[in-house]
Amino acid sequence: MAELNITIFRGLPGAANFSSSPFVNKLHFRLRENGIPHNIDIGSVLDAPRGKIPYIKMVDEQHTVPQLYGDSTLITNDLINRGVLKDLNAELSIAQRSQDLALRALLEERLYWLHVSYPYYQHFEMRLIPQPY
Amino acid sequence: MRDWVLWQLPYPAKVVIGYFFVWRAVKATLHGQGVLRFTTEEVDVFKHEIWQSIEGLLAETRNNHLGDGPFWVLGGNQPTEADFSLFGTIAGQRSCPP
Repeated sequence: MAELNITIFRGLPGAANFSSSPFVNKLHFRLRENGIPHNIDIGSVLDAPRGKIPYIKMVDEQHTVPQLYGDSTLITNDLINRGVLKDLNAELSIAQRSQDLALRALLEERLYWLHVSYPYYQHFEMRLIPQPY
Repeated sequence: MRDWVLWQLPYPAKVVIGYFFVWRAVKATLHGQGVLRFTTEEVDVFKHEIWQSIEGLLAETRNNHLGDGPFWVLGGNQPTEADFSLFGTIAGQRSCPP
């Protein structure tokens, strides 16, 4: 297996193993659990290839310069196709794969946005002015 | 929260950029996505329902699991992709902004 120099950009400084974004946690834990050596950096949303955190910088044999990759699900699928990560859903039945996909969609597309929307509702009662500041 | 997400900027830039570029953009995204069209109480009901169903799923899987040690949310012997998403969600919720 060729040597992949992976750097994961988490967007914020913080604890070594946790971050506040579920997608960062998911990707980082996946790399740690498979024992893949990687670096951690902060990065910024403006530099991200799709404008989303987390993103990854990776060097492989086809390109001479490091490439940036976006979206945690697409990164995971790409690393599975390269053989770097184990395909965890390969031994599941069709029904179990559907349940897996349903649970992931619930957490990432529904619950995540419900949590993000929390400060955007009117929680300004304790402030002097009823405007976001 | 502004000081935490925009930690790289000086204070006046934090307020200006925080409002004009971050707050309004995210608010428009949420409104287009649909979540900001609910009331606070409705969002609480939705969140409560989802978290209760996750708790029920984990409790039932744990009861069916024999012995000690880690158990996986779909009840198998190996972790699946959903376990990692679930870890990401729970760990993200438990790490508060400073």
